[in-house]
Amino acid sequence: MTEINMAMVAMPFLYTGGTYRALLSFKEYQKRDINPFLILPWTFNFNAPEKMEKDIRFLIENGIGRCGNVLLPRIFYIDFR
Amino acid sequence: MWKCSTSKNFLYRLPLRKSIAQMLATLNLLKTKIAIESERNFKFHCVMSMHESLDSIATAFKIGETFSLKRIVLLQLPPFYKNEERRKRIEEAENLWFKIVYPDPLLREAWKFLLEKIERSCQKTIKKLLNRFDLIIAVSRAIPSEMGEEWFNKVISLDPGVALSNEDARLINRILRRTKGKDRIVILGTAGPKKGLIEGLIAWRYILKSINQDYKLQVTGNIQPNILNRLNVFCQKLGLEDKVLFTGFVSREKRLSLIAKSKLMIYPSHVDAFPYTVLEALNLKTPVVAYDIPALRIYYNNLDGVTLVKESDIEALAQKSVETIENRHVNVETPKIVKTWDDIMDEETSLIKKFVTR
Repeated sequence: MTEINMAMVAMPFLYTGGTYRALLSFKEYQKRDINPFLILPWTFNFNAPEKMEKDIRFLIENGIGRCGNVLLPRIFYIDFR
Repeated sequence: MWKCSTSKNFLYRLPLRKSIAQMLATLNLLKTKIAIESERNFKFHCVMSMHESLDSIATAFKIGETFSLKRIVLLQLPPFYKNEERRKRIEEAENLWFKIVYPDPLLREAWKFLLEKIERSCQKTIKKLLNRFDLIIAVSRAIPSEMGEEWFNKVISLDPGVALSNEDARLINRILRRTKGKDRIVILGTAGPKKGLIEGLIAWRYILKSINQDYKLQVTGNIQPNILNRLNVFCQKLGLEDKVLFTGFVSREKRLSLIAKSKLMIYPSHVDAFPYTVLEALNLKTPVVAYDIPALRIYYNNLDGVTLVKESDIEALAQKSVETIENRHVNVETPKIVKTWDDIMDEETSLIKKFVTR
């Protein structure tokens, strides 16, 4: 096996030491034959929509393609339509 | 590809929403949906959680179970603490935070009760899930040491798994070249309950009694608006209204410039594995006064420019801070960490590769 496809559950942002390290790891793994595919854990969905959009813009600017995310059961959401 | 649903919003203003959801979702992981893009429909070899938080671990666990993948976790902080004394100190810091953020005693006790229950349940679940991971990597040997002896053989420590990235090293050198002397600024290295923000503010009141009144304490990092209001009220009560500046989130360059200009970094954190902020400060020739917790003791003790005081001893924290500020010739030693960021990444990825291909 030359390359490893990895589902990486992470919050790769600049907010804390932990999220910053996840961001650096994501970039470094790519250079070392590991293809990380980002899956955002459910706490990502707990933020205000504006913040989520800002975070998504940040990921795009850093060349990180999201592969998936996690949704909690419907009880945690309100449909405003 | 990227979409953000505006019609369906999580109740993001509900207090304790994260904690409650953590607990409920983990109790019934089966109902948690994981959406993976269809164009990326190819074989994964493994799944890795990059954080020690319950949502991240539980998500990785569920993906691993659903797709029969090898499960890896990278612990960046201890997910729980074996030592009772340590647990007590962390709890005290949280209680102090609650006292400031929830001034109403009835509401405060209710939140505290609920949070304690949730946290206990979450920690039990984390322990259970971690035992079913195939590879546990920690970014510091302080992590298994905080988790207890039974984890020593289960956790592989990178010792340390953190170093200045090449990009940050370049940025720090650039900032050092353009920074001329220190301003009358002291920086609080952290913002958060377990990171000792309240203790830092109390210490600052003591410190100001002994030093020039022109000094300002700067606190960087995101703080929710309602909590910031409470903190401002607390600062007023301490008579610090114009002596503390909460900057909010600032860019890395701005933050590093601020650290470089500061006379001192106060770092009253109770939870850490390998504090990157302290590493940045020492590289920027800014001395640090911090609590003597395993992460700091293992990696930074006995370095010039680092003073460790007994955990939760706010008076000692203030006293040593005053001494450092008043000392005109503080020598600051850069930690001699033999590993570079590239070495660490080589070690980490080779661990993963060996494990996945075996």
